[in-house]
Amino acid sequence: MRSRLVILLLALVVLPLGLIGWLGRLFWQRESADWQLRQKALAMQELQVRQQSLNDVIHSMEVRSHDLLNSIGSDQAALRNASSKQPLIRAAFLVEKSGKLKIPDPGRPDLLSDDDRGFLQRTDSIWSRGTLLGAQRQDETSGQCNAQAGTTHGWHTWYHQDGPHWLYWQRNLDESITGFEIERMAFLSRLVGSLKPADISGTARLVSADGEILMQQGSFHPESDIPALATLPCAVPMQHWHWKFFAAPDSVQGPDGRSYLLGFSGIGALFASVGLLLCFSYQRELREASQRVSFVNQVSHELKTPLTNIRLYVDLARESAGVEGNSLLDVVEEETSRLSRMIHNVLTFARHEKKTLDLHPMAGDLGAVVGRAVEIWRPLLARKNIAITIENTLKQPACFDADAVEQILGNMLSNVEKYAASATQVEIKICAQQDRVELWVQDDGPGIPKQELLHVFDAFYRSRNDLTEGVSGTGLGLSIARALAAAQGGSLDVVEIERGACFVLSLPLLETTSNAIPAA
Amino acid sequence: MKTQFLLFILCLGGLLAVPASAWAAEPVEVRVELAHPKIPAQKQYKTYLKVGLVGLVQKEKLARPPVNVAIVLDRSGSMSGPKIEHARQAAVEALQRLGGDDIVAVVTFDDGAESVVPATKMTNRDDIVAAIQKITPRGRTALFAGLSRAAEELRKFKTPQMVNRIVLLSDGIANVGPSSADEMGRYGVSLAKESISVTTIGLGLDYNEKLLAQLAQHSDGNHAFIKEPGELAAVFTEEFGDILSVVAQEMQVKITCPEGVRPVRVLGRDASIRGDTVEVAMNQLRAGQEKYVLLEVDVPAGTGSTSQLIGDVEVSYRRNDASAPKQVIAHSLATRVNDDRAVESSASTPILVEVAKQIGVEKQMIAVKLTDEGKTKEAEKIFLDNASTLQMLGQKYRSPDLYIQGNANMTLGNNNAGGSWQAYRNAGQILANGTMTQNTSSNFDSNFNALNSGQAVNVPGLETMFNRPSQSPELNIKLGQPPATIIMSMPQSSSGTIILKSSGGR
Repeated sequence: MRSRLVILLLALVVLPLGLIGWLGRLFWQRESADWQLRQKALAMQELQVRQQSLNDVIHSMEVRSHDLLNSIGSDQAALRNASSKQPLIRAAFLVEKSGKLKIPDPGRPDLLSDDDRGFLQRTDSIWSRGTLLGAQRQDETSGQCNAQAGTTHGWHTWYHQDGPHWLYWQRNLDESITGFEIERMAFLSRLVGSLKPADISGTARLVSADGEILMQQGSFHPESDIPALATLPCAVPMQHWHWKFFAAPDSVQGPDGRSYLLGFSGIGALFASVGLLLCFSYQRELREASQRVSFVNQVSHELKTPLTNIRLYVDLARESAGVEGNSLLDVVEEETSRLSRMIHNVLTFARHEKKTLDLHPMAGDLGAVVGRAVEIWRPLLARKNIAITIENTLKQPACFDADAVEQILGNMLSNVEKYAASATQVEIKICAQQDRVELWVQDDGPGIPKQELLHVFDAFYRSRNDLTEGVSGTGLGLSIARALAAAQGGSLDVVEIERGACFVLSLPLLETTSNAIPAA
Repeated sequence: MKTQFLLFILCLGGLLAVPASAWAAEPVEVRVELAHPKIPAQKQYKTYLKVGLVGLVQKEKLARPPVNVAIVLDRSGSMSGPKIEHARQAAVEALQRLGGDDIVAVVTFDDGAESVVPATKMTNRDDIVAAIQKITPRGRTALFAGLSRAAEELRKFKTPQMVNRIVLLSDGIANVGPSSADEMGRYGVSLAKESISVTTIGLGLDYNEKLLAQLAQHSDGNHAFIKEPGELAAVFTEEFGDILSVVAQEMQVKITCPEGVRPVRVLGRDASIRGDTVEVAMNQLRAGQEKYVLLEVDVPAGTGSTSQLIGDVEVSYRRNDASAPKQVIAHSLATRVNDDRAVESSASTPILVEVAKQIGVEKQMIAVKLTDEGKTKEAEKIFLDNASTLQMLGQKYRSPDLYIQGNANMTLGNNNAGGSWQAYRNAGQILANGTMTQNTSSNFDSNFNALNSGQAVNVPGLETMFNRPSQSPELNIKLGQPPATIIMSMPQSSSGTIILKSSGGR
C-alpha cells in the first residue's frame, strides 16, 4: 500500500513538478537567448547610429578638403598657408607629376619651417617607399585607397609613433597630386561634437587599434576583460578603429526572471496541491475501506453463528416440508450460502490483511473438488440461463487446499453470476501444464474492459461501468481469490480473450508442495 | 655717424611716434625694437628683434565685441563638496558680467559631456543660473568630450566679430578619451585656428598640469592654478575681465629679413620660419596687455657707418569694430659702428633680460621633459647650468628677476629627484614669485632672501594667471597685504603656462 502511495505521489506531484521545472528552464533559456539576440541587435543599432555620424564627419571632411584643394588650384603659396587657417588640416603637400615631393620640399631645408620638418618626419615612411603614386597598391581588404593611375582622390592611412595619421589627396589635371594631412584631434573632436547625447543602457566606445578609448558614450565602465556585446569596424579611412558596445551588468540579466519563476512555481504549486489532494483522498478512501472491513469483519464473526443455525434449521425444515416448501427452502439455502460465502470472504480477507492466512495444501483430486463446487453453483447459474461445462484432462493429483480452491472457484462463479448475466455458458478446464496444474474458468459474457484488467485483483476495486451498477458486492472476491492462490503456492491471473472473461488458477503439482505463505 | 644715428632715430621714431599720433584711435600700438641698435661693422653679429603689440586702454568707452563663451566644468566624482559649490558660484558670478548680446554655453563632463546650457544669449539669466545650480558631481573625467562639446556650442553662433573663449575647470586627470598633453596641444593648435582660445583652470593638486598647460598655451589662452576652491570666483572674474577687454584679434606678425640676415628662431613662442620669412599668429589682445615676438637674427659682417636693414615687419590685426584686418608696416634698421663699446652701450637691457629669461625657460622645459622621461641626472645638470647662467646674467643686467629665476633653477636642480608634479608646481610658484617681484619690488628682498636660503616661498592664496600685463590699471598686485588673489604676470605675456615649463604661446 505504502509503495503504491509513494508511486502515486511521484506520479501526481513530483513528475509534473519536474516537468514544469524542466519546461520552465527550457522556456527561460530560449527566452534568454532571444533576449540576447535582441540586445545584440539593439547594440548594433546604437553603433550604427554612431557609425553614421562618423561617416558624416568623414564625408564632410572629404567635401571640404576637395573644395579647398579645388579653390587653391595651382596656387602654391595658398597651399602652403592652408594649414594655418584650417582647423582640420595639419599640413598640406604637393607631389609633382614626376613623383617628387614639391611642398614641402625636402631638397630645400632652408625653406622648411618646423611644422614642415615635422610633416616630413611623420610622412617619411610614405616618401621613402616612393610617393603615393605607384608604390601604394590597391588594397581591397583594408580598403586603403591609393593614387594609382585612374583614381582621382582618396585617403591614405599610415602609422607614426602615437597612432594613425591620414592624408586626403586628389589628382589634379596636370597629374600632380595635392592633399592635406588631417589634424587627428580636431577630427575626433568634430566626431564627439557631432554625436547627439543619448541615454543608452550600456556604453558605446570608439576604440583605436591599440585599445585606446577614443571616445565613450554611457556611464558604465566595463572591466577590461568583458567582451563587447557588439563590435562594428569603422569605415575607411578609420578602418583600424572599432565601435564597441558594452551592456551594463544590470541589463545583462535579460528578461525578468522573477516573473517567470513566479509563474512556473505557481503552476507547480497548483499541480502539487491537486496531486496531494488526490493522494490524501485516496488514502482516506483506503482508510475508510479498511475501517469498513474491520467493521464487517466483526459483524461477520457475529453473523457466523446465526447463519450456521439457519442452515441447520433449513435442513431440519426440509424433512417436514412438502415439495413446494422444499423449493422455497432451496432459495433460503442458496441465499444463506451466498451470505456465508460473503462472510467467509470477509474473514479470509481480514486474515490475509493481518497476514494470518494459513492454508494447508495437500495432495488431492482437483477434479473432484471442482466438480463438487460446481454442482453447488449449477442450479444458481442455470436460473440465469448459464450452463457450466467441465473438461478435465488431469491425471495426476495436485497439491492444494480444497477449501481455498472451493472459495476461489466460488468467487469466480459468483462474479459470473453478478457481472456476466448475459453469458450463456461457463467453461471450466483442468489440465496439467509441465509441473503445474491449471484451472481455466472462461465465460462468454461482456468481459472485462482492457484498461481494467490490471486492477481487477485490487481489493475494493469494482469495475466501474454500467455492468456493475446496481450489483452488490464488496469488491473483495478476486483479491481474496488471488491471495488464496498465492497462499498455496499458486497464482491467479486474468487472461485477455476476445469475448468474455477468462481466469487461470495455476497450482503446483504434487512434487512441489509448499506450506510457506508468500508475502502478500 | 651722427647723421646716421639721427636717421636711425628717425626711422625708429617713425615706427613708434608716428603711429601713436596718427592712429590715436587705434587700439593696438606696434613697437619694433632691437636689442642692439648699434652692431659691430666688421663681424657677424647675433642680435634680437622685438615686435611688441600693446593693447591700449581706450579713453572713450567703445562698444566691446560680443563674447561667445563656453564654461566647461569638470563634474567628475572628485569635484564633490566645496569644489563644485564654488565652481557653480564662480560661474554664476562671472556670467553676471556679460551683457544681453553675449552668448554663453555651459558644458559639463563626467563619463561623457553634456551641454547643461546650450549656446544661448545672455538674456535669460535666471534659466542659465538655475541650470548651473543643478550641476552635481558624478562619474569620471571625459575632459576631451567636454571640450569638444564646448567647441561645438561656440561654433553655433560664432562670427568673426566675437571673442570666442572656452573656460575649462578641472581638478583631475582625464581618464576617458584622449588624454596626452601632446594630443591636447595639437587640439589647442586646431582651436586657435578657429579663433577659439581655451583658458584652463587647474583646481587642487591632482590635476594634469601638463595637459591643461599645453592646451592653454597652444590655443593662446590662460592657465591658472588654484589650491583652494574658494579662490575660484576671483579667477573666473579675472578671466571674464580678460575676455571682455579684448581690443584686437587675429594678429599676424610677419618679418621678412633681407639677403644675408638669417632669422634663427623665435623665443618662447611657436613660429613658422621659412627661408627669410618669419610668421607668428596670435589670437587675442586685450587692453593693457603686451604680446611680442622676440626673433633671434644672425647679421652678417658689413662696412662701418652704414645702416643695416634687419627686417621688414608687417603686422596685421582685426579691430573689434572692423571686419577687415588693419595692417601696419615697419622697417627695423641697425647702425654699424666700429666701436664695440658703442654696441654695448646702445644695448637695450630690458630686451636682453627678456632674451635671457626666455632662453632660461627653454632650458627649464628641456630639463623638465628629461625628468619626465626619468633622466634625472641630465635634468639636474641642465637646471644647475641654467641656474648659474641666469644668476650671472642677473648680476650683469642688475635684474633681480633673472637672479631669482636662477635660484629657482638651483632649487629644482638640487631637489630634482624625479618626484611628483607637485614638486615642480611648488618650484613653479617660486619662479612665478620671482617674475612677480618685478612689479612689486618692495617685497623683493624678503622673497629673495627666502629663495637664497633655499626655502620655498609660500604665499597664501597664491595663484598663477598668465597673459597678465604688468601695466594693467585693473590689476593692482600688492603682495605685501595678503589679498584673496595674487595674479602673476609674465612680461612675455602671451604665455599659456607657468614659467617653469613654458612661456611661449601661439
